[in-house]
Amino acid sequence: MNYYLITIILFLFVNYLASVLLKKYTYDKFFMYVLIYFILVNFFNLTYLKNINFFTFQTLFSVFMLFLYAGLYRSVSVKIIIYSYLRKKSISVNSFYEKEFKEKSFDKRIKILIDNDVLIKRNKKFSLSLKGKRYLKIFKIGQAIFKIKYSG
Amino acid sequence: MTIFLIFLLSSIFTIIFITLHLFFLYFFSFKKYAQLLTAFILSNLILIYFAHEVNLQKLFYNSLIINLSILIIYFQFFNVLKMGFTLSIITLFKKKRKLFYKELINNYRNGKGAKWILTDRLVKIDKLKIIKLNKKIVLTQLGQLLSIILIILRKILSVRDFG
Repeated sequence: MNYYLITIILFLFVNYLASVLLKKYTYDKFFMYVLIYFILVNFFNLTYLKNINFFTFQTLFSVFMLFLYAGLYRSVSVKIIIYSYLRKKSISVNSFYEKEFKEKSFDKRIKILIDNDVLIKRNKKFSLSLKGKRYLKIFKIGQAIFKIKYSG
Repeated sequence: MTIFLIFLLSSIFTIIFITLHLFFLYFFSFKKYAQLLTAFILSNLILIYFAHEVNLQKLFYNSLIINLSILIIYFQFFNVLKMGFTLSIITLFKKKRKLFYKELINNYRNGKGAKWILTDRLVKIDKLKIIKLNKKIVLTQLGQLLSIILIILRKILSVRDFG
C-alpha cells in the first residue's frame, strides 16, 4: 500500500517541478511526462516488485491523469466555469465571446496549428500544409467510421 | 507470463467492445454515450464467461482495470472526433482549400459560426444547473462548488494555462 501512495506523491511532485522548470508546460509535455513516468515505474515494478496489481493500478492511474489533465487544460466548459467564478459577478455572453473566447481560445488554436505546421498563413489566407492534409484524411476516415457528420 | 495472459484477456475485450460499439452505432439509435457504456458492460460479461471457461477468472479483475483504461482512451478518442475544437478547424478545409480568417469563424461547424461552440457548451452546463443563462452567465451554488473543486484540481496537477 505504501508504494501506491509514494508513487502518486512522487508523480505530483515531479509534475510540479516540470511545470516550474519547463517553459510553457503544455498538454504535449504533460503527455510525455506521463509516458516516461509509466515506463520507469513499471520497469522498476516488473523487475523488482513483480506486482501485477500495482501494474494495473498504474495503467488506470496514468490514463485517468491524462484524461483529467486534458479536461482541465482544454475544456471550454471548464474555462467558462472558472472564469465566471474568478470574476465574482455575472458576465455577458457577448463580451465573454469577444474578450475571452475568440481571442484566447479560437485564435490561440489557430496559432498553435500554424506553429505545429498544420496550417499555413499566406496573404491573409489560411490553407492546410501537407501534414494538415494528412490529418484531415485521418479525421475524415474516423468520422466516417463513427458516423459523425460535423465535429465541434 | 501472468501479464501476457492479462493482455490476452484485454485484447479479446477490445475486439468484442469495438465490434459491439460499431454494431450499436450502425443498427440502433439510442444515445451515443449510452451505446459506449452498454458495449463496455456487455463485452466484460462475455469476457467473464470466456475467462471462466479457460480457468482465468482470477485474472479477470486485473483485466477489468485495464479494460477500464481502454474505455477511457476510446471515450477520449471518440470525444475528440465528435467535439474536438481544433479538429473542427481542420475539417473546415474539407470543402474549400483556402479560407480567410472571417470564413474560418463563419464556416465553423457547417456554417453555424465559432460562437456556436460557446453557446452549445453554455446550454449544456445550464442544463446541468451549473450556471443560469439569460444573456448573462451566472454561476449557481453547484457551479461555485464545482469551480472551487476545478481550481483545486488545477493547482494539484499544476495546470497553469488554458489550451
